[in-house]
Amino acid sequence: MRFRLCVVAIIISMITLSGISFLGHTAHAKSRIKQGETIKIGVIGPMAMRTGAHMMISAQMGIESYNNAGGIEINGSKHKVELIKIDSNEFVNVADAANGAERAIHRENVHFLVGGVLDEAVAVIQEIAADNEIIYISTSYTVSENHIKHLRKDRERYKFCFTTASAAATALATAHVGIIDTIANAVKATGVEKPRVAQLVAKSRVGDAILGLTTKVFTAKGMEIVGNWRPSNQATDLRAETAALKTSQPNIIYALFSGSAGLVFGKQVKELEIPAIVGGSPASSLFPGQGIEYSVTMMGPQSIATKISENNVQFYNEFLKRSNNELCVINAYDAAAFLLKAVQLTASLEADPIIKTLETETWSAIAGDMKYDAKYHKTKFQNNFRPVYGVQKLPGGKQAIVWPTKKTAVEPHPLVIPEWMKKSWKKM
Amino acid sequence: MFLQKFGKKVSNALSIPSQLLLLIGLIAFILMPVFFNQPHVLRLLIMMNIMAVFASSWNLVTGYAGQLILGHALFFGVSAYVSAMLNTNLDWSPLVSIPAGTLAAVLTGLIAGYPALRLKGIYLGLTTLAMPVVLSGIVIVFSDFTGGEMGIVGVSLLSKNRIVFYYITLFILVLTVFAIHKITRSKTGLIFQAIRENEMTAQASGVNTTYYKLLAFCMGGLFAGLAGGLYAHFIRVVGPSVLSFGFSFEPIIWSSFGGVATVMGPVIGVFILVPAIEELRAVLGENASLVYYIILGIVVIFAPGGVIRWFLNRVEKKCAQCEATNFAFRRHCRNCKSSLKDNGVLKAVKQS
Amino acid sequence: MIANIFVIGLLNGCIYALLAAGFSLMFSVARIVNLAFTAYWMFSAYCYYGLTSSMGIHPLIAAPAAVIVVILISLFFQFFVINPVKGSSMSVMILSLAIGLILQKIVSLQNLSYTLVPNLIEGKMEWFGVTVTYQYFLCLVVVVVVLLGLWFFLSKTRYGVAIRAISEDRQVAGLMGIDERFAIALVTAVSVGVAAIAGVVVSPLYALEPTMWMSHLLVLMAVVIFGGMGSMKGSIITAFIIAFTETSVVLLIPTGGFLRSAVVMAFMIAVLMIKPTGLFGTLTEE
Repeated sequence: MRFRLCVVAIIISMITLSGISFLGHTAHAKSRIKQGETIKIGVIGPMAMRTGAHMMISAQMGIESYNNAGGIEINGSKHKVELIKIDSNEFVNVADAANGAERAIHRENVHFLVGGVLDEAVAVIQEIAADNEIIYISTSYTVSENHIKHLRKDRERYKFCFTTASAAATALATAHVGIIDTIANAVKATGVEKPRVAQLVAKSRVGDAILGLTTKVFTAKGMEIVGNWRPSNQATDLRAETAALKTSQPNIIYALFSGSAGLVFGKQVKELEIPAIVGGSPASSLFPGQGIEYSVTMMGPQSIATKISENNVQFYNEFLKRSNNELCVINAYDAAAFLLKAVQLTASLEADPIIKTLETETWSAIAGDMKYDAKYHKTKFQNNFRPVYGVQKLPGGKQAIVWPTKKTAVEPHPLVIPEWMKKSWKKM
Repeated sequence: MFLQKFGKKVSNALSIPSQLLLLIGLIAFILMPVFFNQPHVLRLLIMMNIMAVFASSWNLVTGYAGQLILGHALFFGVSAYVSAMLNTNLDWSPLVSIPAGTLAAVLTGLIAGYPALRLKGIYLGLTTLAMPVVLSGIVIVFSDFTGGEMGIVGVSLLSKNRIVFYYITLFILVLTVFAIHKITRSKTGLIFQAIRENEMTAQASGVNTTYYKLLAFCMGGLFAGLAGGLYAHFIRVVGPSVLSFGFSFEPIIWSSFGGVATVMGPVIGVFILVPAIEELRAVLGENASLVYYIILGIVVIFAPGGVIRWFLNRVEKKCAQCEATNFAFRRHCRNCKSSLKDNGVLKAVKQS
Repeated sequence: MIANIFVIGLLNGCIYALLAAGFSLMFSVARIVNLAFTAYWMFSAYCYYGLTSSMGIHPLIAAPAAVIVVILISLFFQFFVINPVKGSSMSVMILSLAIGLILQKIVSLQNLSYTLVPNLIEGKMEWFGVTVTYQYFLCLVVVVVVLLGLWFFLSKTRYGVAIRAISEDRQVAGLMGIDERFAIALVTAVSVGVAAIAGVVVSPLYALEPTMWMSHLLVLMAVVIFGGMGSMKGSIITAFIIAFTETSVVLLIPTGGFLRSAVVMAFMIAVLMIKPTGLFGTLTEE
């Protein structure tokens, strides 16, 4: 009896209290800024990992020129820019990314959010950005399927979400095909009639889509597929795959995976002396002093020392200095720089005019000038070009661009195939 | 007359420290949104409610029924995935998809409980630990339906208003705790504990242990599934992370911190640890987990039975004569007025 | 193909066997499930890396130094953290998990994530048509030596016999004058020492990352429990069974390589359903 009464009392009080708290709940205004206050950009990412550290370094580089100039003028007063570091812990628990994003908005009072790596985490942060009407520029490697899905479903709600990824996953496939084709031509020039390709592609949605395309194209271009291997995208050990690869005697290894597996793979390829050129995105090339010699990696201009755009070389040198000679794994420079430029242009912190500016203006990213696609808020470079290059790693740590897209001014170097590989192909 | 009786009952109940504190706590949490209506605080409170349901469900199966589950994320994940898929693909309302997900979790409990009929202790623990791993393999294989590593996005919210959401989850938490309280005091609960203590004896006294073990798993699946469904409709993105190790071990950490095999233990564990890590993260950033685990370790060393037992041992005193529970500061028992002073000796005598 | 399965499976099996032997020893004597076990393994690999690469100490000095450091750390944790709560298995599990996470955090604070350790000896040779590096052979030799040493220690020395006596019946062992605290310390040192040796020797074969102990923990628990808790022979045999199963999945179904842990786990659940105490289970639950 007592308990029943209690339950009823609890329910009634809950209903009344929720009514009371409705009255107190008001939407908060983020757009106002007081004199002397700083503009706060929340950088959210896996801060315990290298990715997060690189995110902070590059974002810091993005805001420096504004701070050196004394800040950005809004309503007649100058405001400095401040980065707020937020650990998303996204590789352990995606819910932490949600907590972090919301804490940044309401407790740290950030005006903008940048960051996010995993597709799942980006989707979670986008929900929160949309809920709170905060502009969020994601920095994932590729334009996430989820990003497109969100904007297609409800553009009005998700209009706050942008991305700085240079390409959708499927568009990467064309770059990969270009790279492998360049290698295949060089291999053919050494006397191999039908280059043998082994594909080592991590199991993921992106990997599935790319593999379907590459298998078709490679066969059509006169290559022979000797096998497909699909390790998990969280694999830490590719020893079995590498051994099997060697047995299949390929001339070219098409690799696409990320994380620590790439490092082991690079070491194994070297140790086993597999006579094949590795092409694609074998991850390890981005680590200092690591990477497979003669491999061709798809890279963005931020990791290339050759002049491609206005400021890529400057960024490259500066980043190496700050990161202890590590190549940039993730780039939050663009996101921070675009936001600040948009604030400067509109001279306000209100979301709508900034979104409008982001959608209409031309932005100078590290990769070159670009615009935002008004519908899906993804990057659109001039002449539809994708700012990715096939970069071969030569002995002594040198880089050579061997494959550019057709629409760029960079002159490609001829692909180098070491003598010992040529010799062993002749024997085969 | 009625009021007088009721009043006496209430005043009786309030003389027991644990019940008084429980009531104060409940009122505090009912009033919470009035004082804290910032969205990030509400988010934290909602997560606490959901996770408390999740931890309680683990405690029911492992703490009370003694069936060691190390992969409790299985039930959580199944329900989150099923309700998210029904919601996004078939446009089912959350009010239907959450019960559907919960039902799926109950059925999973039936399947996961099957090994428990043969396996015991750590062997059962490992088998259940392996199940989320197998399931996440399946999720990746059927990535066209499950979204693979991208997860399912666009799951609708259970309630657009976060305060309403908070009261829904609080209500479900209160209901869960009440249900578990009733279950553990019932005949079923007694049988669960009998199975935990000695399965052979339970069997010998005519208990159908097969039925009761499966029942325990289904009940665990029920509450964990409820939590999973709520989580899916709160976070709005369901990906492979719901089947991760983290989700399997966290209910164990929370429950053990609060007190295994106590009704309120897991809830207290969640209500202390979840805000603690959140606050630490806000202050210390990515180094928070180091401090968190050190503090967790120290507390577990000094209160191995859980903080709730440690705390109640200090504020409560049992009367040696009539076994009524009293505040520790009382000199005389509120019931039989006998002295509480040499309680220790008397208790020891009585126990021996 | 078969040669590949054999060679790769043998190597992975050896590493699992080494870890499993230590884990199993710790369980059978101390009766605790120490989840931090693989974290000690990870930590010793990082210690070794730090001593050789960052401080430039010669590998032959660095290797024993790393092992000793890790043993001392484990003894510290065993006495001040695990022993006070050893009555409650849940608390032990949580505390050991916390220890593992603390060690992981300490490593990642050094900004050493994703590191490659240079080989101790360079060079390679062909074996059944499979290219095998000398580092790999070194691993095999060390694993065999350590396992033999462990066997010798347990069956021929006084302390080893005392340890086994405790694992069989701790009350009687106590009556016979065997100091339990000392025995537990000894067992901790020996089993963590084995893990630390594994860490030093296999570190060049993996890319080190602070979270690598988690993925190995699952495999290790599978190996030890599947083999039968407390049976060292069972653990070693199962280590090879699981390693060969994993390798076969990758090599026979190349497009299903991502399923390898799922397949191993499913296989294990199936076998446990038939044989509920593991393959060589001798211990019954207390």
